[in-house]
Amino acid sequence: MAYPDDLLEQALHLARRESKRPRQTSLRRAISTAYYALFHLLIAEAVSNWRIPAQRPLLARIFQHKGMNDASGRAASSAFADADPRLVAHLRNVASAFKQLYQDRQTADYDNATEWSRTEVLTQIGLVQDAFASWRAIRNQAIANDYLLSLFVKDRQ
Amino acid sequence: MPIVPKGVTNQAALAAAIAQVEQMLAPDVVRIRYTIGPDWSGEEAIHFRILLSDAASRPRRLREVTRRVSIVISQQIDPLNSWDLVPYLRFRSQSEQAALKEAAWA
Repeated sequence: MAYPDDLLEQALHLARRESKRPRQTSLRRAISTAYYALFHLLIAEAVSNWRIPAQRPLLARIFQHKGMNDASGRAASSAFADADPRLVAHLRNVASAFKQLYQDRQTADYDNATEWSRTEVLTQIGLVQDAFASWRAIRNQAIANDYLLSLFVKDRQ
Repeated sequence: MPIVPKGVTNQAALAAAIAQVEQMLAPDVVRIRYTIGPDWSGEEAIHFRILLSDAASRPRRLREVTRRVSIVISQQIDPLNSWDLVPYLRFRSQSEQAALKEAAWA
């Protein structure tokens, strides 16, 4: 079951809690939840291309955070010389948001020395919202499907 | 053999480029602090800490301001291609920093 939109809504809910003095736990969970919203969006889109629906949840388990982050780094910095620049801009929005949120989620989950503010968290959630919009603009394009494939196929160059 | 990023070997030029961008983005951006070091994947990165004015941090302006700052940093500094550093950006308001009092943002 894929639930990226629900996760994004929950991230916003957590980020807006405690209107005067937000708790660090709420802000950290908001960052982590925003990351997982994008993580699950991309996985759901990738496995939706698999013909047998009953096998999609199992297929979704082959995706790994680090592999997706590495692939997103390559996509964010690739030239895509022959592609439509508008599509490339959307893909870069998605890939760079994934890379930023991967970094933020690691910090939010594992680095207790880092303090978060509501502005920082709302900004990163905004990146994920923009990434969702960009993804919906390109999801049927070849450039988007190539990116999905790169998320679970190892780069051997 | 590992390649030392240009952002490490030429830190004075990088600092000058960032100072120029800081001026371009005033008054919405109060100051830009940064650290160079590995990210969670071990890649060499530049971690920007961008302090916004309270006016620029208001909900109705925040998205527009942070998008513009990201674009200007990408176009004017181009951390990855010009300095071999993966960029990461975080934004905080002046009043939040006044409450949190973090030295890294001061």
